[in-house]
Amino acid sequence: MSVFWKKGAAVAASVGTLALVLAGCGASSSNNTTGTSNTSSTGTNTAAGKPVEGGQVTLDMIQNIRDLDPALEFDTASNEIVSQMYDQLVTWKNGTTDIVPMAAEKYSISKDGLTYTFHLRKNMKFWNGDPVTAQSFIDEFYRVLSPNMGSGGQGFYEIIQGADQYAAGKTDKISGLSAPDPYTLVIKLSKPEAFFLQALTLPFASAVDKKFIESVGNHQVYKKNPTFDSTQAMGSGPFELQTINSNQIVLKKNPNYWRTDSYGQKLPYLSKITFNINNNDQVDALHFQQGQTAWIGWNFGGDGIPSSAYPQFMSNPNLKKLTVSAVQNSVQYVGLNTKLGPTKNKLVRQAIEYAIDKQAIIKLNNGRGKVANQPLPPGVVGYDNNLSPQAQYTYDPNKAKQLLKQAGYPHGLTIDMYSENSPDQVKFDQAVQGQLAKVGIKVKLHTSSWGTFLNVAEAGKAPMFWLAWIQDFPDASDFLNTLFNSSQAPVNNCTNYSNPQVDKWLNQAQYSDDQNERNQLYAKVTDQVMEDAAWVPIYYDVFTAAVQPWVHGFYIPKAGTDPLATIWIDKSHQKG
Amino acid sequence: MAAMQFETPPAPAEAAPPAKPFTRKFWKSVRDFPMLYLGALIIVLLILAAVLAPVISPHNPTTQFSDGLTESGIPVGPSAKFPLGADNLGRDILSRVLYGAQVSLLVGVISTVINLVLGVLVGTVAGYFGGWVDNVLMRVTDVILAFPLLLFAMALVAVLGPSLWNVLFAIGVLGWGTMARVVRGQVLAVKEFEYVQAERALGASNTRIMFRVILPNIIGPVIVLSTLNVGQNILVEAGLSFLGIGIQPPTPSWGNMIEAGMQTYQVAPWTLWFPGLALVIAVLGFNLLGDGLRDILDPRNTQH
Amino acid sequence: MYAYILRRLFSAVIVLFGISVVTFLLIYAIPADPARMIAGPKAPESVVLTIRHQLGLDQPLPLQYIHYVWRLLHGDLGTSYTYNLPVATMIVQRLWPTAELALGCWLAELIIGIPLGIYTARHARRLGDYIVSALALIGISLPLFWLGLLLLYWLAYQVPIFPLGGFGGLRYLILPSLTYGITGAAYYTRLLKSSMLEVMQQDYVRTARAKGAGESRVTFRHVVRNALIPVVTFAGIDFSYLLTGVVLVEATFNWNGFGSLAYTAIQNLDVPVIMGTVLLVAVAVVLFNLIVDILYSVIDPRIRYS
Repeated sequence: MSVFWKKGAAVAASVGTLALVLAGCGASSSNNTTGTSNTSSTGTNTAAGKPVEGGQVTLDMIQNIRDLDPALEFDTASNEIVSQMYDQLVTWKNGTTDIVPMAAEKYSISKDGLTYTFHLRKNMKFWNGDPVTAQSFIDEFYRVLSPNMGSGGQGFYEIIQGADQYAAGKTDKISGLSAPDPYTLVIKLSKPEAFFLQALTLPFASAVDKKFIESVGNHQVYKKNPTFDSTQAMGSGPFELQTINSNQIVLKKNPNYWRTDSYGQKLPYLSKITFNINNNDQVDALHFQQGQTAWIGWNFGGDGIPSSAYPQFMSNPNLKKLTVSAVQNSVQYVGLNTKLGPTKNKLVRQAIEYAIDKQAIIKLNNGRGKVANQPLPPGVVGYDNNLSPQAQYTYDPNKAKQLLKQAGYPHGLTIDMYSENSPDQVKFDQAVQGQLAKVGIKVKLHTSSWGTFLNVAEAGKAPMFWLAWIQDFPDASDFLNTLFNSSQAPVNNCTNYSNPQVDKWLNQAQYSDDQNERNQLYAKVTDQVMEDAAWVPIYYDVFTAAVQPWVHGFYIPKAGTDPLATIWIDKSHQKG
Repeated sequence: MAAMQFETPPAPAEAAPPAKPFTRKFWKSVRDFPMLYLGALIIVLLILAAVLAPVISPHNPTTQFSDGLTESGIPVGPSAKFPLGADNLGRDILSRVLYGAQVSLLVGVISTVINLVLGVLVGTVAGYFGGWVDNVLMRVTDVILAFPLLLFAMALVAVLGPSLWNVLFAIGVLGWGTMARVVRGQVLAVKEFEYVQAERALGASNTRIMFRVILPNIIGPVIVLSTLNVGQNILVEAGLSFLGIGIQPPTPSWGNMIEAGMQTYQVAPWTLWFPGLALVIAVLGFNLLGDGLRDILDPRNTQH
Repeated sequence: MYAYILRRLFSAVIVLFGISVVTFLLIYAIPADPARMIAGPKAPESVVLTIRHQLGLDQPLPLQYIHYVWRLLHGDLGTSYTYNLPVATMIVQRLWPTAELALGCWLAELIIGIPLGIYTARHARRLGDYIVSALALIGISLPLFWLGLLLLYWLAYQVPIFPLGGFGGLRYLILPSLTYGITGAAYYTRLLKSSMLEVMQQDYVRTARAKGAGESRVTFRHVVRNALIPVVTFAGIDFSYLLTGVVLVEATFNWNGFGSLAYTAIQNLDVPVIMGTVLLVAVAVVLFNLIVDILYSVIDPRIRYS
């Protein structure tokens, strides 16, 4: 459904050399791969042998790219591209949720959990030859935290000493960031935080070439910290931006990339990747069937095979064996703005909770998905198994009508709903529209392209909207704190939800290192948020990808985008 | 587009024979003008479908039936419950096609009335007064005609926001160029005739001459053009809805049904067939009627 | 003749002026604040104010119009809100695919339309004429996008002869062109038929026939050649329909051209791109018709007096 509003998602694509046990056979990722058959080349296909260098693939992409600037990009479509172009200090171990070093060769954390010291690789360069140093990372933190930038990642790094002052525009310096020498980066936190390393895997914490940005950046709007416009990029990652226009993005191999696989071959293997932006998912599915595109995966808005094409994949045995699926730590939800429109009224929001038939919507998605009862997916620690009765809603249109009457709308009301305009999404929107019509709520739909929709939603101006959230890292804070803390409104907390008690619990859980205590606090938050009905969680996703038999090294990461850097193609060795 | 024939100099009104009394030789005239009657029949049926939709539809057009979809979410095909199958949300296609006639007729007819009023007004005034008035009005008409209707309507609807009334308004306000040109040409020819000159000599006001004397004499081509125009405007509305900027869901329109059918036509082709068929038949009805009327009203164009 | 051409040029300039006024007014009628759209939703108000000033949005409307025209004359169509790219660049990138498609569509119309026109004229009032005329009427009544989808279903999905949409070589061009050709050919057929029937009544045709020229020779040497003149004129008018039709064809066949650019822009409310494309199409229509008219007046001097 490609409605994923997600944040910088983990960079599972760019896995450190250490993680590559058997390169090219990037073993079928997640334990919870419910997958059919053999697609993800789980080493069973050693016939394919040593990875082959070269070749190019074409992929379809269903959404346009909104941002190429790693300080700004915060959605699945942009993420697929940006992740290939930049390096971070640490990353996820191939298909797991363990952290491994990346740009940092090694790192240490002080006993009190406040000081992080990173020792960087010395051979890293940006595409233009400029060296990657500790300052390259510091520059990016300054950009992300800048009060003028409006980066969605700000909240992740305000815990760095002095960062909150800087972000508030009170100082010019972040005292917690220092580089004793060009290849050592020291980050001091104001409080210990259990998941700070995880936050460093995000593209927000990439190395950027400040000199380059200043030469090309948008100075008119952002004087101090210019941004890239959407046609420019300068990273140190495995793929370089070759061309970008409104319907196509071409990435080419960075020939000087530092990573190698276990055979000593340089990564990445592919010499060129072409993304065609193609809003028609039927055609996209057919391009795959005709062998024109290499796979349907994260490039489809983080959700894999579109629902209009899914039945065909399932009914055709030749296609079915090319698919692989996995439960994802993500949630699809309908957001109800707590500060705008009729949804300001809690009773209206609760009425909507009762009026939506989640099972019917899942059916429209060909049964892919599990009914959601809270923002946290079951795969994330902190999931609340004992929701309080006030926080539970079942499909009950009569109850909804009754609540609306109580709210002062005996004759119904009209609400504006915003969403992206992909065909699947429009279908879900109409289902919601039909279900709410039954209880007397007239829904006016406003659908637009991904970027345009986000502009409305992220400004907190959508009274009702459909979005999804995929974890950036598997910690409850990434869902609950990011999406419900009043300090995150409206960029991440698009419903403008604000409850001082919830803020207090969230802040307490954020800095606690007692996991039991954190779980209890998050359970309280979940109960309260659900009782306040800021969200109607619809379903947790089941991700289904389809991969050509000649594509090797593909896997569904536990978090993050397609593993482009370690994928290779060999048409003479086909799986299946 | 079918109006093209009128771009060539129009037939003088005096050339038109007196209209035959239809009632007398009804069957003979059916034999003489089969297209006309076929078109009229289609339009009558269309009007009946639109008016009676609430009575004859088997279901509510917006109800999403859970048995309208298979377990894996594919629309079910034609059956006793859903005579023309169900759509991608499990709604009854027959009911939606019937209700769709309401939208098409409403948009087609009202936008044509707006075209007609604006076109006749501009064309008559320009043709009658001539000189700088003619020049100014015809340049305005040229500007309107320079914008392809669908593209211009797309832009205007984007500005106004997509809704039934805005679509109707956009097509109405932008689509009068051809009408104005045709009317102007007719007026130029008719205004030199003696009886017009005579009226003027008798001191009739300009308004009277334009609308009481000239207009009745050019009514034939105006009726033909308007009939064809309804069909064209129905197509423009369907095009806008197909592009997602016309009639908004859940209101059924044939255009937005075809758009939805585009997503499912491979596994459920009936989602595409029936709304399209309804659209073709409706447009064909107006084209038949228009061509038939032309044959009656303007013998020079007769091709039989 | 020069007087006619001058007059024609002058009125074209007036029309172009009118077009610029209309697009300008449409841009400013759109409720979204351009400065806010450019700055993005997260930018602070001060940034928005700066941009508003830079764009001159705080100046009186007539002054803004003058700036607008000034920029247009310098080829500056503004910057896309969605992509941050110059609109002119975006349009240029899409011109070739659309030109290719438009050409294909036009050729398909002629290839289908002209032979049928000749056929119906030669067989006027016979069974063949009635069948073709009925088909032509159905063709005119067919919605492009629906016909396109049917052809895709049968000729690309059920029997996979052609690709299911997309932009590429000749193989990709055939179905979209055929779709447009089928719906558009009828105009050429009808026009050519009536024009030929008229020419056949002319003295020189009768003379040719009386001299014993064969029927085919008469048809092709004398009738068709002369009857094609109004058809050529119609091509000028058809240009505008072609540009509209291309929008629908592109949406149906997923053809990444000018039309789909306009269509996406409208969905995004990307005002500069919408107005850029609409403006360009209107200007193209005016210029194309101007050229056709002038050429015509050179070829056929009688036209000047009408």
